[in-house]
Formats: sequence, structure tokens, C-alpha cells
Amino acid sequence: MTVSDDATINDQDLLYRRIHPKQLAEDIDGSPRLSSAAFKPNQQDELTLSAYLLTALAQIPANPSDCALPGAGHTLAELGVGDVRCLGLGVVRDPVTRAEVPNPCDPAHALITGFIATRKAVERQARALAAQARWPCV
Amino acid sequence: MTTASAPSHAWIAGTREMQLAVGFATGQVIAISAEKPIAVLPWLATVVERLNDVGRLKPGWDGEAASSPTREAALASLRALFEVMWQDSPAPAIIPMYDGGLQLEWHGQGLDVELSVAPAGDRHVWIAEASGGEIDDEFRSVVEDLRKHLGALGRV
Repeated sequence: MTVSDDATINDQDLLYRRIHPKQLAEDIDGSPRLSSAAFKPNQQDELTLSAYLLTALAQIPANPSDCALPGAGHTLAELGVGDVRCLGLGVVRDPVTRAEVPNPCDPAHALITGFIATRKAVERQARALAAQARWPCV
Repeated sequence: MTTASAPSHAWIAGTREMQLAVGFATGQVIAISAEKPIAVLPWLATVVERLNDVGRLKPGWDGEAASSPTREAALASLRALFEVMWQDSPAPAIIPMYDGGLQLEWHGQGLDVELSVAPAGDRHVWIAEASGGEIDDEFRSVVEDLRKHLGALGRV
């Protein structure tokens, strides 16, 4: 399988993914943790995950914290592009141009690609992303 | 367990049963007549509260294209819990998925358990044991493993 991947994006670049407050789990001791569900792509999105690319944010200029939707209680998870690629996934630029609700970070929108279209594989990749992610990061 | 267009949390008149309800953004409801009172199943009230919390999420709840959790996913989750939970098992975290499914999770004591329930109610389980063992299979195939681990978590 060929994974879409933009070679102009450096391994050292960083991705920021919005985490909805309902997608936080907790340990039995009550401490919060990222759920892998936050990294499972929607089939409607053709097995891709939305994120924002740090170098593209800097060109806007915007901060990662600007990516969160106002009032939605989002936090951000940070992933290294190189770490994502080590999981067999790719990263491509996907600037949003006509959003229903525009966000200042839209030009820095990117997609994590390359999820394998079987349940077990997608879940394994999602768990690996959740384990790699630094959260909360901003 | 029955399903109906019904009530909120209340004792059922003339019985010792508690009726609980889970509501959805679509207006659908799952009504649960618990055979054992909540005092005997401490996790049940928490689960119902958590299902109500996510069940009422509207389409696009993530700010993008996420679907609302389905009634079928909630119902399949409840049925699974009634099958594998012990009296003192901890209630799972209940996480909505973008496709309308739900993911139930328990983490602790070096154990990670995820019960993922698809929008139509199909259920799969992933267990990472403290010993390093891993289970990834359909719910029906791992009921006993789930019962063993959720029983152990309850004794923590």
C-alpha cells in the first residue's frame, strides 16, 4: 500500500490535534488520559485524521492554542511528524479554504494519512498514536 | 432490560426495581428496569449518567463531521456490561467515536481494556494485560477474559 506523504514536511515538524473533552478517559485512580478513540479516523473522512502543522502555523502567524474551537473545551495533543511516520502513516498539507466556521489556523490544516482499512489495524494505529502523543501540550 | 419512549431515573411503583433512562440527541430513549437496585450495582448509575452525557451529543459535536452516538451502540454497551461486570467492578469511561460508536475503557493496575462498540452494535475487545499479554477479538469470544479482568479491577 502506498501512503500519501509530503516529503517537504520535516520529521522534526510537529502536529497538533484537537482533543474534544468527551474523548478523555481516566484511570481507575481518576487521573485523565487520552483515549485512543480520539485518534480513530472517521470512515467518512476517508481514513484520515485532522491536525495542524506547527511550521505552517508559524507562517500565518498563529499559535497551536489558536487551533482549539472557542468555548468547546478542547485541549491539544502534540505529535512529532517523524513519530507518525514511524507508525507507517503519512502527513500531507490540507489547507482549509471554505470552512463553515472559519478558524485562523485553517491554512495550517494537515492530514494524517495511511490508516489501514481493517478494524484491528486502525485500532492498533490509533492506540499507537495516543501512546505517542504528548498531552496536554499547550 | 426494556426499551421504550420513557422516563427518567425513578423507582418503579410497587416494586423494588429502579428504572433508569438514557436519552439521545434524536429523541430516542433506552429505559432500563434494573433487576438489581443501584445500591447493589454501584457502577450502573455512573454508566447511565455517562451514557446520557454522550448520548445527547448532536451531529458535528467534534466541530467537524462526527455522528451522534447511536442508540444501538448504547444498547449493545449496556448488554455487554450486564454480562461482564461484577458488583464492585469500576464503571468504564465512555468515549464517543466519530462514526456514532462508543468506546468503553478501563485503565489501571497495568491493565488496559477497551470495548469498542460500532454504531450498529458490533462489539470488539482489546485487552493489554500487565503480564504483556494481549487479546484482540470479538466480544463474544472474550467474555470470560473480560469478566476475569473486570473482577480483578473491582478488588483493587
